[in-house]
Amino acid sequence: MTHQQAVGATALHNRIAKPIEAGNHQFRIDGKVAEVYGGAVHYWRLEREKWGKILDEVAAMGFTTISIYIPWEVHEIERGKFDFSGNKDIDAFLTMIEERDMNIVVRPGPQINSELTWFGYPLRILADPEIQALNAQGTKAVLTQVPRPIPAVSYAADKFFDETALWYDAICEILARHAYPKGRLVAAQVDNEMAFFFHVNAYACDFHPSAIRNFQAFLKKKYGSIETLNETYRQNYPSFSEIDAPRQFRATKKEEIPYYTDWVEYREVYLVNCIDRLAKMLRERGLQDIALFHNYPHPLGPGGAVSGFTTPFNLMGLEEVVDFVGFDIYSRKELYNHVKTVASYVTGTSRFPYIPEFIAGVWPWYLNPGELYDEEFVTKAALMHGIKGFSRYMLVERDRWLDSPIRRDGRVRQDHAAMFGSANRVLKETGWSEVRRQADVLLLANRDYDRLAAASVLVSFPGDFLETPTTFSEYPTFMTVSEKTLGFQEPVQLVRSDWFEEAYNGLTATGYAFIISDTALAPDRWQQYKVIVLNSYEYLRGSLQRDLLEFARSGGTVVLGPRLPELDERMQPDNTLASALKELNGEQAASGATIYRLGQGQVVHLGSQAKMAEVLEGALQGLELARFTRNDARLDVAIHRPVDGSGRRLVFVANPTADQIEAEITLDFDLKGVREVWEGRKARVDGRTLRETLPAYTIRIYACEA
Amino acid sequence: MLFSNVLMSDIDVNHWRNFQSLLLESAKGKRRIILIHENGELLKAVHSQRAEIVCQVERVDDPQAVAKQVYHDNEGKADFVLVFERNAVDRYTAQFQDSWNPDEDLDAFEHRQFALLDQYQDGIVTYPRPARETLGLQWRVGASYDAVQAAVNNFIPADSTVVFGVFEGEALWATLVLHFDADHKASVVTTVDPSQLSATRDDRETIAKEVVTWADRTYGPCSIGLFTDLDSARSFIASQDKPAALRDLLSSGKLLVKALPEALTQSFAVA
Repeated sequence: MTHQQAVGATALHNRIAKPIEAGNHQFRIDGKVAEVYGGAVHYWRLEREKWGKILDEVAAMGFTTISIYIPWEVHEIERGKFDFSGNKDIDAFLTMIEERDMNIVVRPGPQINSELTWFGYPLRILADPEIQALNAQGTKAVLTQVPRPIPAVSYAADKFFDETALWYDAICEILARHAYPKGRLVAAQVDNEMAFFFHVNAYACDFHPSAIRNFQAFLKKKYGSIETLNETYRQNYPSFSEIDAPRQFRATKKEEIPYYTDWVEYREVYLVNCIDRLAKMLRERGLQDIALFHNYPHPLGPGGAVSGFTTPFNLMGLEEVVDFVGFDIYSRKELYNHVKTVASYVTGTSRFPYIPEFIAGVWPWYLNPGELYDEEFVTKAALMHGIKGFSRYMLVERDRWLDSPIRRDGRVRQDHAAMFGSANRVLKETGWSEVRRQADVLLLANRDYDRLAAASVLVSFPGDFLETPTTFSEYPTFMTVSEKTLGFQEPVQLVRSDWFEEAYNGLTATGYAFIISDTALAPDRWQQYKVIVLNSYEYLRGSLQRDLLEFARSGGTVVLGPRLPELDERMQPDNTLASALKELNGEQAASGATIYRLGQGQVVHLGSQAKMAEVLEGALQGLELARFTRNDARLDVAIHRPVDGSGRRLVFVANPTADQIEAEITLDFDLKGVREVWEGRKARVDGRTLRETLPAYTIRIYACEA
Repeated sequence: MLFSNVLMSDIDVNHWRNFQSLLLESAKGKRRIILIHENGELLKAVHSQRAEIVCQVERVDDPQAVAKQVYHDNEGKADFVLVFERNAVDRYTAQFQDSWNPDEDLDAFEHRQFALLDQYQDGIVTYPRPARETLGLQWRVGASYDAVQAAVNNFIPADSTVVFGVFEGEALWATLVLHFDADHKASVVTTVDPSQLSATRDDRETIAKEVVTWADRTYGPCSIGLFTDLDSARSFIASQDKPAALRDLLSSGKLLVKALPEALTQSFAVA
């Protein structure tokens, strides 16, 4: 079976009706919506005698689901032999959860990190040179983590999958007995935070010979013939097998870009393919009827990145082979916009916006750990921007994890339990799974520009849990990417994030509700929005140019800039968009934008990112978009409405600053019976205006009657 | 020194956070000016907070001189200047990664990773302090890795527990509890668990005594139990002559000693 056939078969599998489905922002079991408000418990790190008491404490906080890592590292006693006795008796632990009428999510790896010494693998796997991933210089790709550094594993090496099969054979025999409808196991996570072992840097990993062969196969599939590739690359390769991966960014002109961005695109495909392969192995071993999912690591840390949610991640590509994909969230109250960005991106992109690891306590080598209030603030911020399910990591404290709501001996930290319990109560009281984030504007990060940024980093270095000596984020930033213009007016790899940030801030300032995704989102998913905002430079993917025009012709508004493209992503001439607009008489708006009426819609060209808020204000006027106004521009608001169309609403108001704000929020609907649901009290309203004193770093949640 | 399967349970988040703030310094959190070049050709020069900088550099032929010049041209704007030759960074990262072996302790790997920076004195340059003392996550213990290791081997009995406590007022502000096994590897790294103490609001003497008793009971014989106040802890950490600093604290009554092995007692006595 070719890779294309294999992915097609997986996509077909996902479309076949199963008793468990994820879609339309819901998780359904036999057609009924199930609430996935879960948390992690590590059975093998707890005394077996305490399992029952601990599970009872979890249930008492209102959680519906238990999420469980299952460590190959711990269960394997010698190659192919496993110990499932004593406090490693996963079968008994699953049964105890079922007896408590809770659902189960398992995470059997093979990689689970889990703060284990060997990241969840038996040491023999990491120590095997045939399985070790390589960096661009051809040496091991080592992640410095506690308590031992580990070499990255190559998920392109067949031998790794052969070894994993031994583990899956053993563990799936147990899991299949609990898989719905036989038991309450409803979902399994395939591997964990697969991001080249945090070697996000494009030249840090993986240059294993198998990975290079797969890169060549990827190029062959993409270009079809070596002639087509040579035409794009301006090279004379005799065959695909002669093409090596780039080991450093050395491009000096735009024609050289595709070679580098192909490598970065391939790294996305690499991650999709290995998860696809592991997912198939799980399905073949009895987990075919439950949901399979994956978690990408928190894309903004450590170090931060503006649109780090795109490459090497490809959420929509991965959702072709598993049921849903989320990003993990660990953050602080001071990083509201980071949480907003991740949550909004998952909401705008995933079938079921789920956070597989959602802050509850912290690992010891996290610098300057936050406080309980950070967790409350981050919880509300993620919900505010549309998250529908989650697993708290960790609900129960244990070796190498601190400050969870339940201690390893079963004692409860009452203040923590009250906060997590409040969150679960609010979700149940508000019918959270039946409401949707209201937004008419879709802000797209441009994946092709992000790929160029990833490709153009000037130095390569591995991931490091203790802080890399380079001082850089592993994500490309203005500190690491090339400043060469490559023949464009400005270095696209550098300025693309500035534009995105300006658009993000501009939309926030105008009060138009927006959701984030990226340009890999299928155009049929655009239809629920009235406006698309994205950046464009001298090149823009050809298919994207055509899809944007079609969106505008059918009544949508496209806002783009600063340039109109003349090339496609392969640097071939393509002025589809520019020539279509040239035929029209663009109107110069007072804001400086040029508006092109096209079919039933329009294209708004912003020639500059200066005064973005003002320009967006002018461009979006009269479009009848969901909007709010507030007396202080630092406040943020999000509105959620029921899918059944009834008039009730949930309104989140955030003060993400260090200052108290006397807030006045005016909405575009009448406010009736408004209650702040976290604190359970009436709110102060006047017609369509909410008035509240919001202390520093506060998010309030108001339920408004129809 | 750090056992491969170290136990890190029951850590108190406040003690741990405070302990981190006392001993760890992150280069990532510093204001820095970054220059990246390739064989002398300057490829970029930026400030980590995107502040305007003065950079009158056209080529980087003498990276130490360039780092010094840029630092002084931007007095007060940056904590340090960093000059990377991109190929040197690639070689450096490849070299330290390739040295991995599964039997080596984390601290030994980390120590070698940073010591290796000395071999890239033209490729990885910082100013005002050398790269090895500037980059990454720095332990500000005022002693070299070798000195710490020697102190562990010479003064801490095998299979024993060590407790350091820092008071602010009459309350414990930060603690560190370590257990060393028969091979002098740290097999437990944690803090005091305040929920296990009854004397958290008593005087320092009473609290320190109970902490040592608790450590003894929980993790094994407590060989060292030292307690002081926050200012004294800071001055001790900053000191390059640890025995002298300890003697000063002791003589000024700022050090509570609740357990001390014979070897260390003699060392104090010599003074």
